[in-house]
Amino acid sequence: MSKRVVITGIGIVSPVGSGKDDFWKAALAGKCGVRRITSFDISNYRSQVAAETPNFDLHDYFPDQKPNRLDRFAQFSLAATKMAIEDSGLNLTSKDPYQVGVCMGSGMGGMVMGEPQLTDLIHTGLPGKVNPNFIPIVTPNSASGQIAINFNVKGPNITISTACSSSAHAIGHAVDLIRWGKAEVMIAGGGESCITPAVFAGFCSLRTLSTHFNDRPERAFRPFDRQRDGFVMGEGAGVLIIESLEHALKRKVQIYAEIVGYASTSEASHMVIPEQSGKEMVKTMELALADAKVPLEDVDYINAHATSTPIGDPVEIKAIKLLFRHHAHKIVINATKAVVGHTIGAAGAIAAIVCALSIKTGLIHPNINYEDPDPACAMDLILQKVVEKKIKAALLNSFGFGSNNATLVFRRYE
Amino acid sequence: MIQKSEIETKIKSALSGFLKVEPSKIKGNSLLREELGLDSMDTIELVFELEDNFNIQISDDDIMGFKTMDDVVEYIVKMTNENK
Repeated sequence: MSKRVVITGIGIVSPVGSGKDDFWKAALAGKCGVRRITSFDISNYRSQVAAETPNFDLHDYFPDQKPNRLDRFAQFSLAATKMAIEDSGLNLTSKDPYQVGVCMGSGMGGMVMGEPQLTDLIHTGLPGKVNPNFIPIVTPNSASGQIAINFNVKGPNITISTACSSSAHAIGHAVDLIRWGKAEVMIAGGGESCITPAVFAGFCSLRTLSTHFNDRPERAFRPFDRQRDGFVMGEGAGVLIIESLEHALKRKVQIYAEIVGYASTSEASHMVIPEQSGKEMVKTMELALADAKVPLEDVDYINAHATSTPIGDPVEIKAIKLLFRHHAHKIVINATKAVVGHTIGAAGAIAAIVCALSIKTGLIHPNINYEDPDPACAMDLILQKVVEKKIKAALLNSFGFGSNNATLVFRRYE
Repeated sequence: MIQKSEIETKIKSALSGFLKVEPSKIKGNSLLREELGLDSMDTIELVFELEDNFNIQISDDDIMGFKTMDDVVEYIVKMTNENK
């Protein structure tokens, strides 16, 4: 029988607060981190808002670290890892380092420092001016590598890059590694920071970003609302410490929740458009629940992928209705992206943190900006208020460009 | 002509930027690798900054000759004079 896997530590860097307490307080209060972009001149862009993470300084977490050796997404990831390890009470010096692994997600890699190297080279034509750190910082696995180096963990070290679902896949794979006996403890999650001139322009050109709320940034990310017109980029990192149940029990530590199911599928349909009937999303959720051995009626919370796009939100709701039928309306549904923006490779990890905290605290954060319910997405329990609920099982959906889907299933540990 | 002391100051400043060493602790005969702890990546970063600062090109073979601070200073003096 494969090992049971539990969450014992949480670390987060987000636009509405870093550290699980500040973040959770903000999420429950219905705060939104979206503002007008300040990190570069946004005046010529169609979309002008994003959820940037203010006042982040790596030296607050690692006083001796050289910031020019890590791009911002890796700095976020490293800081979140430190918080998660502290939260879990894990003493890494007493562990066999080969039994602790890292599995992180990143969609874009090191763009904040990397992108100017590309644009400057095109501009100047001087290859000698390309920074020697460019390659080590731009690679998506620089975060997982830096985590291993800084914490001396020598088990599996994997980075998964599946766009917006990267960190849901990373957590799922980390769960599998523990189940398969490849590690006792995994540092799992994702980090992203790519609110940069060229990446932002690319998303603008794809017409995926909200443009109607440039003058009202906090109202731009509105999952399932009739006026939604695209997503808003965010940045941050989420990291979980997950371990086998027996390992956690031996350590006598707090357990947030158990991760009981994971499925990863491809829609094999379109690079950026979800398959419209919803059957592919149904399949992913179905496989994850089968893996979890959780009956449909035990699911009482779904943290939806919900990117607030006109096309994506109704398909996900259609899929939930198809799968859960009459039970669908008893499930509380929200979208954390409305709080922190779409953090791409960190989105699944931040949503997983929300699932863990919701299960642990019995509180589900409001689905903010749901002012005018779109009939195509309407569900009884998408609410703009905090819901108190003793959650049995929670489901997390994360879908990514490249036609790929991930679903994770969490259960209250008793 | 750029003064030797000015070159020294610039190199110390570049070094202290990515080493955990106070500029005042960097002596002329300080061994870059053994005493100051420069690894090969630090050396490459230093060379990158020197090329940028002094507008020179440093070959891979020349980098191998950098053992102490003074080696670097003398090299830069020579190169900047050649470039005049």
